[in-house]
Amino acid sequence: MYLHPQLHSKKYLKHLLSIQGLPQDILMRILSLANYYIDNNLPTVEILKGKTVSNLFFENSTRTRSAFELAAQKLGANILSLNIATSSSSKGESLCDTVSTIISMQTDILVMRHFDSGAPFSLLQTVQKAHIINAGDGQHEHPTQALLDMCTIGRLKNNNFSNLKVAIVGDILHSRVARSDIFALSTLGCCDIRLIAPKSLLPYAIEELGVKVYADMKQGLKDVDVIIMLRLQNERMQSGFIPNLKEYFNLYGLDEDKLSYAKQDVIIMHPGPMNRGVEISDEAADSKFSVILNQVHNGIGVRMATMHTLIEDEINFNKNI
Amino acid sequence: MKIQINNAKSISGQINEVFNLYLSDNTTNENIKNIPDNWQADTIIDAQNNYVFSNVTDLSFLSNEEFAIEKPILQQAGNYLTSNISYNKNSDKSWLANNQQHSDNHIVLHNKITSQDLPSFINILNYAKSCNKIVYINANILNPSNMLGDDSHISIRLGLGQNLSCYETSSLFTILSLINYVKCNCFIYDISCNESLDIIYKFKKNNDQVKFGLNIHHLLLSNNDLGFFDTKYKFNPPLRSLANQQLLVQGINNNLIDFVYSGHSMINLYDKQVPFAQAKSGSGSGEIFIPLLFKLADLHHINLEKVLQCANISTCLDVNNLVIFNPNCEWQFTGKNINSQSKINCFNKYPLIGKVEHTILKQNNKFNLYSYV
Repeated sequence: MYLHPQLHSKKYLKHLLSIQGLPQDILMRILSLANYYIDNNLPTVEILKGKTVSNLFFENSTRTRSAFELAAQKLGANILSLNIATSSSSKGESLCDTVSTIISMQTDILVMRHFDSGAPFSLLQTVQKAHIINAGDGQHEHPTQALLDMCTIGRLKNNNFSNLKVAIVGDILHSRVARSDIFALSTLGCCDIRLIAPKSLLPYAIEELGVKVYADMKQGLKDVDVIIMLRLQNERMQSGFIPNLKEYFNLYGLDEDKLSYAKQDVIIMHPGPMNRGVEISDEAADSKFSVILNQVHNGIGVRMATMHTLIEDEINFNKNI
Repeated sequence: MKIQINNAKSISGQINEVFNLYLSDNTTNENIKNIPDNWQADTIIDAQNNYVFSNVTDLSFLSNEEFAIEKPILQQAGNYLTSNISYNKNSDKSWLANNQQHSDNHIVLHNKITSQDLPSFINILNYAKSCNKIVYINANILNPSNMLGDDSHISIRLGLGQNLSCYETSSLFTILSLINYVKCNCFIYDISCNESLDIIYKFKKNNDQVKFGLNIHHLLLSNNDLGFFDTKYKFNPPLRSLANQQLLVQGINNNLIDFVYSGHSMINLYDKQVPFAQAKSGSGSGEIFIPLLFKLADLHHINLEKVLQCANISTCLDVNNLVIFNPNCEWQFTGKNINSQSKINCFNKYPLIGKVEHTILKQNNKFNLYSYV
């Protein structure tokens, strides 16, 4: 069997690059640790004392970057956050060289967001001693977002993933969150994953991932337990995908009317940033069903758990070889 | 230099016929098998009943600089893609930049063009027809997509934009409509999806002035090889499914595909050690083109002579360049096997059939022998 490059072995995590290829027990372990941190009000512990976490973001980020910085702080790490706009990358330095420089500054965990799908995978030869956490790569994956989504769902729905109906709505084509969420939900046993979007915002043959596709939002939302709304990723769109924002909102924007088709105890999630009036109405975003701020809070716990797991697995792997 | 090759065998004609060849600097094709008077060879090679091919050479012994010099020979082997780009999109009055010149017999078009360029495109075809030139056209020349993945679930998993097969078929359909209008000689290369074969089938029923070709990578590799963004397997058009590969093979058997070429690209290590989107497309493979062809025939059960014919490798003897090829060895290719500095190769560790043992090149009217047994 081919071992995913993010694993030391089937049991131990070396990097977190994607949810695809992440064994269920490792995923559950991270979620369980995240729940511990969240239940204990995100305590300050010193698991990463003396270690350095470097944040390397080639794309804009508010939530993810802040959450990683806070998480690293709470774990007692030194934090190096690189501003790409003023770094040598903007002078034409290659990704490999930039990362080599950062690694030589004794970085233990490299958190990276990049605009190209697969960018963290291209660093596996360069980064031998440090751990890489993928904080989003192009249209490929955003694994920690999926983990925090699963953590939020699990906490609110009693970890009963196999009986859940989950709808992911919006720009699936360009969304790395959608891919990671689909893989995470499948790994946790969710059998009813629905994608709701116009065909122009869906990859060709997406059904092969074991999801149900709906063009009609009211049909797709019928009796769902969880709604994950996605924004239109304008920065990744190369041509027209929708007629205009108004029509898109009418057909695929989440409002009170469409929300009424879901279950009474539905939860509304959004990875942010939200575009109110485009994919979600004010009423839906601020309703009692919305758990969007819970997601942000849980995000810190999930990132603490991820970094904790990487360091712990390294120690355990070295013990066992 | 006088070279004598004993016990050589040709793949065509009388299959078991074993013959000797006599090469000296003034040798012609006619007297290659006849022993000249007072013959005294400088070198005698025992071919040991192995095949002799011409119109192709093995370049694995050459360094990078020499490799560049030998490019035309590689082109003869069917690699048309190393030719210069001849279409200049920036000019509205001509399609060649001032410092460029067409080669004697062909015009190469492999820049992407848009529907706005169609009038110029027709002009090029008309010009080529009046000058009796062949136009080489990339089948995806009108494909607007620069996406890196195919239309399968593998691209979805990797988050690669999908270069749908319908983009290629619509590009091909438009090209053929224009050719049908102008009726000029064309070679359309880089066919990658089986849906294109339906269009070719219909076109070939009424036209014979167009030949079609594809890259050997699309016959031996598939999207499964991409693994986790393995840049060695980045091609444009992208590698497609195994099912697609099987149907392309049928295209060879059904005479819809006329040529198979090596698609050799000069790739440095640095070109591939970057994120997938930034990596250069293509791979080296000219160095092992003949073993790849033997592998192709073996893997897909295609008649070997047919495969060699598709690769433009002549089984008739042409004294300008000859190779002696041992078909009876199986080996794995690694970058270490070649002198070229272009070590990035998608066929690394790929099992191959047969090896070139000697290459004889006629350079500046003199024969040079390269042996690597």
